Amino acid sequence: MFRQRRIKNIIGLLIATVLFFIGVSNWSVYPKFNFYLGVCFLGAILILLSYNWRKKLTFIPLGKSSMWLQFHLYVGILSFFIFLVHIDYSIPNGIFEFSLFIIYLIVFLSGVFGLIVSRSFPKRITAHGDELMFERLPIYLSDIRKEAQNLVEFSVEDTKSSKILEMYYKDLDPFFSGFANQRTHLFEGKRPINRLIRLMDSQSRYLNEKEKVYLSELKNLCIDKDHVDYNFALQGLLKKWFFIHIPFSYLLFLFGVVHGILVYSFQGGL
Amino acid sequence: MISFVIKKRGRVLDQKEFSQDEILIGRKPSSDIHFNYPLVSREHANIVLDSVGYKLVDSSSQGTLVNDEVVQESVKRINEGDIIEIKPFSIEVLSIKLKVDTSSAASSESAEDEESPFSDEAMEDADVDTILGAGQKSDPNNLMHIALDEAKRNNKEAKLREIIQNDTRLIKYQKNEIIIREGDYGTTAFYLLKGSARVVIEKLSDEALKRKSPEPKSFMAAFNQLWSNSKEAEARDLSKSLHYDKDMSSTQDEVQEHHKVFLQDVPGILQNFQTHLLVQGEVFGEVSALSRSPRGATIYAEEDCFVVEMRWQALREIRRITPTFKEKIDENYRERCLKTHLLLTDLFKDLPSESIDEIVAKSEFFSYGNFEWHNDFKKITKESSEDRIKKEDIIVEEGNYVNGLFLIRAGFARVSRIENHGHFTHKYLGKGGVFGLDELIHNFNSEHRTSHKTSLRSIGYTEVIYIPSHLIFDLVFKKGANDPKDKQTKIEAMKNDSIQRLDVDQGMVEFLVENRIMNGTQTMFIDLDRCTRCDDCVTACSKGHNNNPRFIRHGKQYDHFMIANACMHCNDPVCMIGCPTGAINRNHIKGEVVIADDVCIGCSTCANSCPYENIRMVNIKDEKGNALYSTGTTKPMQKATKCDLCAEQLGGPACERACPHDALVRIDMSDVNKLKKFLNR
Repeated sequence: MFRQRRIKNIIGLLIATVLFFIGVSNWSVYPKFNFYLGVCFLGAILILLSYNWRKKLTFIPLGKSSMWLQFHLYVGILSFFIFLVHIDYSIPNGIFEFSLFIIYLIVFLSGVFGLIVSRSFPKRITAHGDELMFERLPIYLSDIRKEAQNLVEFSVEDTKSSKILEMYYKDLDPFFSGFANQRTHLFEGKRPINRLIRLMDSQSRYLNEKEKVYLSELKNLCIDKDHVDYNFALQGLLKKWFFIHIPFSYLLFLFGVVHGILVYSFQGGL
Repeated sequence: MISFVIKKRGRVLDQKEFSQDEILIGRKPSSDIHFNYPLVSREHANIVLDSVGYKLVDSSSQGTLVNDEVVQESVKRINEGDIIEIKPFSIEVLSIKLKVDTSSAASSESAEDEESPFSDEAMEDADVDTILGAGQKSDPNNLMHIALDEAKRNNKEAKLREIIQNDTRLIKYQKNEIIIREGDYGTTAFYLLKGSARVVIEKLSDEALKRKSPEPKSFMAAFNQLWSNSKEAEARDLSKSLHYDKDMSSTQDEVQEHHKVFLQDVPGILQNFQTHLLVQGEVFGEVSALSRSPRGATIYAEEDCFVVEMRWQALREIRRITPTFKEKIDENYRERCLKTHLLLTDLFKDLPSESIDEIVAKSEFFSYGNFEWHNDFKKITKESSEDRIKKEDIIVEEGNYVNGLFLIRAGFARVSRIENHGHFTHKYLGKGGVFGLDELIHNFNSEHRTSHKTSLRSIGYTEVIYIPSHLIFDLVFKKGANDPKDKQTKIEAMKNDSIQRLDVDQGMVEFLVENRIMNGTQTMFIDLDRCTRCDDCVTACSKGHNNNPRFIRHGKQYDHFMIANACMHCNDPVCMIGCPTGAINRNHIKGEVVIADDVCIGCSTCANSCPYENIRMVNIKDEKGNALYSTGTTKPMQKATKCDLCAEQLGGPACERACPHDALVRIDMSDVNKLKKFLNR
């Protein structure tokens, strides 16, 4: 289903791109060509921005959001070709134009990044284990930490030994006290959790049978905590990239309008 | 006997059942419920059976919680549904069955019925006499007289009286008052004791029936929600509400008195609509009560009349002890519904009228399973698949002689075959489903007879119509087409239809059937492999409901598919049973189940009945955010809330439209092709 849609959309994009470059080769000789191309580009940005407004107007029958997203993606790619022609395949040298160039790149690349994570992270989150709601992750975190602390404190009373408690406060408390290892999780890294497990295993030889039970439970809590961290890292990034993409899109539009006015003014109304 | 589900941090570890009087929970290896966990004391707690029931005796150093409350003074009585917490473990009390003195236990349907008579006021012996017509001359057309005469003959009079006393109630209806409203769901039947009533056979308008269906907002009103939505959760505009002053402690009779509906312009209705007179001694509403289908017509009191309302249990019991009564009821069903049902089935729709009449006359009806399946569904879902399937009534067993065709009249059934030591589910059948056709076609075409290749099992509750083989051979196969070639094509088409199965991951089929997901007409599926957890669906839902989301993006999961906790707008909407005000109702045009907020009195009947936990009770506030309380009490005023498929919004369910990644879809589970396409995409 998605494959068929993708093929259709790519064919559409190819046709639009070919038509665009045919238009460019025919009309680029006109003196006002680049100004009107800039207006087209600004129009494309406006169309791309309208998806954000559609998302807010959920109670108006404006078509499915998924259809809008497809349109957003392919217009976004087309806008890149318009942009390349508009800047004449070179990096602008004016401060304002260069800023505009950078802002566009941020918006475009953050969009590409967003698309990649939106398509790859959900599968990874689903495959990693139990479904956790992002909003509840701080609660899970605090519950696990409380349980770990209860466990180690009770171990002192029960085993008459402070070995587990010492190990917890020396090596494990920083891990339990907040969301950890986010960067590693993004790249599917296992090193931090493996290191903790190894550390606990290495301590095992100094413990008696009763203490080993506590250690084993602590190990389970580490694994549960690692799952919470994993979800925080991936679900967090799935939300965070919007904080770059959307504000910079508005900034791009604003800068684009100013750029258009300046060009129009300084070229004597064309 | 007591049974538990044992979990650790929400994950099910085990399920246990005990018949002994004392159960030890602890770290001690010999404990009945053994937790090898350091924070659990060796003898942490005991569950002890005494003369009243089970109680929890806490003897731990760490403490025990029951329903989030610390067990005070070491003892706490426990009931079904309670959750005992010994962190990080939880023990959910699934069921409690106390030993009952068999000498005093009645043979009636359930002990619960014995304890709770239908009527708020006790039914006197004289009332029972009046209902049964004792001492009067027996009328051969009066169903209660027939039942009494037969019960007397079979020495079952005492039993009949007991049923009438406990499971019926006497109601006086005023002239033009509506007794049954077309489209409502009810589990009761009615017996016209005195006076007359009239059936309006054709459909009346919602306005005439005083039914409130949600109207879609205008474009401007929809747009207005952008800034007019309340900032307070569950705020209500009191000026638009009808019953906010209603005390929720009212009895059922009081509530019904409060919600009486009278038909207006009766002369106009008589002139413009086809009607039929019901006289003293007739029974009506029995089809809906026994098959849980919506009421087929509106019936109103033509004059002041007395009506006996019977619980479905009463109807079933009377049918059981008095076969003539059963025959009469079945005859009514044949006359009123069966022909329509057959004509709606593909197999019979082209048959001539006389053939249909012959099938109608010779068909038989059977019911399997538990009519109130939703009551123990939650318990069943925690059992193993082997235990679950063992509890399903077998309608037809694999290997049985093929003696007829089975049509599903109401409920659901599982088609399965034995696979090694288990059961492989081929597909599920809902209302209108056909079973046994494949084998009948084979037997018709071949001299070598085959037996049933699969079993048919009742899931929850199933009503089936049985049509003998010879009728199918003579009337459907032979007379289905004159040209032998056409006949063969027709039979092949039937065959293809009959073997159509849900061609998806087998585990998914079992998951859908065992969790009764196939009941949904608008089941919310979320493909977690595409869902970015952006919550656009929840936000869209919330915006369309005054900033209150009407579903939770959480629920049962199989592989990468989640069935979210959103109302499925079920085929068999058990939530609608027992709503005292009719607040929860089904829209007759689009089919969505909606709750009329201003008619809901917050009794929780629907929320407790919903087997999928998709109805939530919420405490409501006024627009300034002040909590509201029932008149004269300190009880917060509650309302039942659920997904209404955005009935008041333009463009259909906002959740599905808002999903940017096509991860969320609403699926009618009877649309096998759409389901297959989604699950196999």
